[in-house]
Amino acid sequence: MGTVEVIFQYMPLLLKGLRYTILVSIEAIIIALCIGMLLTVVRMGGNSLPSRIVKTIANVYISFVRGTPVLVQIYIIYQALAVIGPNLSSFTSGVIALSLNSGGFMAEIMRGGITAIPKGQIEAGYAIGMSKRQIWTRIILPQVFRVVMPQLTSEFINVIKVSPMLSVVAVVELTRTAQRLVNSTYITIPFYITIAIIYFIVCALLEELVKWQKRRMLAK
Amino acid sequence: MSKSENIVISVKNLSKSYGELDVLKKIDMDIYEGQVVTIIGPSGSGKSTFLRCLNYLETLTDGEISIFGNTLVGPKESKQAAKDNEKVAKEIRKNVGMVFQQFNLWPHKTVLENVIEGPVQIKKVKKEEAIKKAEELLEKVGMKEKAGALPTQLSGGQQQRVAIARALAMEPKAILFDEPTSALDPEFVNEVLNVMKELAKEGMTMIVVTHEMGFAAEVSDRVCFMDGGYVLEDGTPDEVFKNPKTDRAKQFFSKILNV
Repeated sequence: MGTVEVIFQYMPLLLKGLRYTILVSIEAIIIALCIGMLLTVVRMGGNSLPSRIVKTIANVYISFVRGTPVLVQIYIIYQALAVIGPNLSSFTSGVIALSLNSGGFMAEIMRGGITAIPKGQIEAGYAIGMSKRQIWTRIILPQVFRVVMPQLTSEFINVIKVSPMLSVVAVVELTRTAQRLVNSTYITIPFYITIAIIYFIVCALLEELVKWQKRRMLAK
Repeated sequence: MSKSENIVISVKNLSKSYGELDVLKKIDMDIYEGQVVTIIGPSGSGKSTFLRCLNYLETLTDGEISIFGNTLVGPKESKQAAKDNEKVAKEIRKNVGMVFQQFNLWPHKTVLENVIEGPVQIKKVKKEEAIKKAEELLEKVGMKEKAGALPTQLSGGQQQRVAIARALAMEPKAILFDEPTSALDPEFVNEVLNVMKELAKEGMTMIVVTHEMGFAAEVSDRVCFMDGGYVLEDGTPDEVFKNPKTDRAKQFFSKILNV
């Protein structure tokens, strides 16, 4: 059998791995968005002692996430969750590790988007009598997502590209599947090139999806 | 010097400091209904800070400001007291519009949406009514054709006229203008000043921080010259421009007016 045939023969397995890659990434992205927003709100908080403490915790967390290797974070989360006790699947702890990591990056992106909004626009809101909540919902948030969408997209793609690292904690996603197939068939480069192409297609599709969404928002 | 005997804005002993820097020093000023007051003076004299204290965009370090019966009090250190001032500020802002140097339109909203935002969101006016009113106001400032445009598609002068319409949409009893023409290309200054003159004629109470001495002389009932956090001159345009009492004002005018 030729190499190409072998790869096609195992394609269903690769696609099964891809399914896990996509599932783990989507779940991680959604949770990371929530974490990112939460951290952002916390960091924009007031100057009272409690909010200063929470702010400091958020800042330390974000620095830690940004300043340590993802692989190390994945090991820590996996082992820590195992010690704490809940009997989580490796898939779940993988999702948690990726979300905690990406949430820190997203918080930083969102803060950048918020500080990019000129202070004058916010004052104009106050000047016509808006409340803080109205300032957020009517002026800041509608603009933030437009401003940060390109960077957030890169972060979404980053989550997909980091997901192979979960193979170290036994999540059988696309890369891990390919590794297994390489071990059993002794065909190396063609398998890796195949999954590279698959990753590329997924990321390109995601990018197109976001662009399409952005065009739709602008058209409104 | 007043058009009416009604004091609508009363400032008593107002001081404002940023740390060690005293920007406003014990300012007293009564402004009457329908009066057009221009505040002039060199950069850093405290003009804009004074204006921004009036609608509580800046907190007060000391003193009192009463506007249409709502009173802000400084200093406010306790949390509750600061909250009280916030509440008062909300009432004041319902009555007092503001126009900024940088226009500060919301770029994600069209011209029309910028104008109806206040009435619909704050005053809970029905959207159709607000649109009707907004169209009238845009007509008034000569911007009706651009109702569907985004602010970024407009010139500075056009943006500022929209900003004035946005302030008017709240049906304010007074409007604060913070250097409304300073960020404009010279060719667009007059279109904005003309709208302001129109408002003055209609009897709107206006406080205008400006470098446009022509406007100050021609349109205002009263000119205040500020320097170093003090109001050094306060009188009719003739009194202040022709017979300034202080050397500082004389010096300032001799530099900017060729008289």
